[in-house]
Amino acid sequence: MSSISDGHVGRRADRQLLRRATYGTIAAAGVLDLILFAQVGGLPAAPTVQDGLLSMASAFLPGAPVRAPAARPTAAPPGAIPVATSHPS
Amino acid sequence: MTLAGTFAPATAPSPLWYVDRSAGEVSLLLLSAVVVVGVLRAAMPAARPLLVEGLHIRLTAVTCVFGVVHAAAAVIDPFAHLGPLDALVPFASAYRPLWLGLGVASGYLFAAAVLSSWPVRRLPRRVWSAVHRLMYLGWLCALVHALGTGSDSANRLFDLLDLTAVCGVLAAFLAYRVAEGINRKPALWGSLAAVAVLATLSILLWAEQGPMQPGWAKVSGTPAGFLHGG
Repeated sequence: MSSISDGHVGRRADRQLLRRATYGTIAAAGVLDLILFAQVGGLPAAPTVQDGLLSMASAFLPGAPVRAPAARPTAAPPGAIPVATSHPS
Repeated sequence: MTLAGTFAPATAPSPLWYVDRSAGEVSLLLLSAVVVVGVLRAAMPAARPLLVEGLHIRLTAVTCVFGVVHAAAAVIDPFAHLGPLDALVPFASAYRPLWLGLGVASGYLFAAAVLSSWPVRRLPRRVWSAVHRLMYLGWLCALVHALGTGSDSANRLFDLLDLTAVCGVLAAFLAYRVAEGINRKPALWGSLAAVAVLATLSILLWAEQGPMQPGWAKVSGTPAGFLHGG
């Protein structure tokens, strides 16, 4: 009797989980579609959304989004003395 | 209706062109999720069948919706001048024929898997399994179509999503399908695992050397008028 009841409860829990997963999938797919639409269409909000997503990705993949420096390196002035450094370890 | 040789580009992209591309990427991700859940279902048939089977079916339904939006937007959109025949006849389009054709082929394989299963299985078990397993090929066609058509291959967000899809499907296949089968038939499943890994690496390498490089639009078979006029 107990196992039948457990099975019934388990099926009901699975149905609820399935319903939530379905709605969640539809919502996630819709939102992602809008984000991608905004990005390929070059809409103003797109860069912010992309940066947000890439930031989230970088939380799981440290070092992944390597960015170019804001300014290009420049040559040392004439007569500058080179300085050698080494790692402390 | 546009087939090879009758191409005349529109002057600027329309919103439908963007709908086509965004819905296509979402379709690929959803299809990947369908494959992953299908792999889990096949490898562990006794594990919460109501939930896993239900999820597989519902994800398939959502994939159908986005796939139809993707194809319909491509046909209606005036920018690339694709027509119903381009969406129905593989490799006949004037616009990137090989890569577009792979998308059409993927659609047919997906339709075969769906129609042979829903609302009831219409084929003997062995035939149904064979048709269903063709979806591995269908998924590969969809992936190569997404990368090779190339409009968004240099887009980091699209690349990240594609990589997520590839890793998900490969991981599920190796961790569940191969792990379940390798004890029974080590040579067969070992070979399948090697083929899957090599195919994935080859596609990633090709994507990096081809679609992600500048000039791919011309190489991929974009009509000259499109390149210069739009």
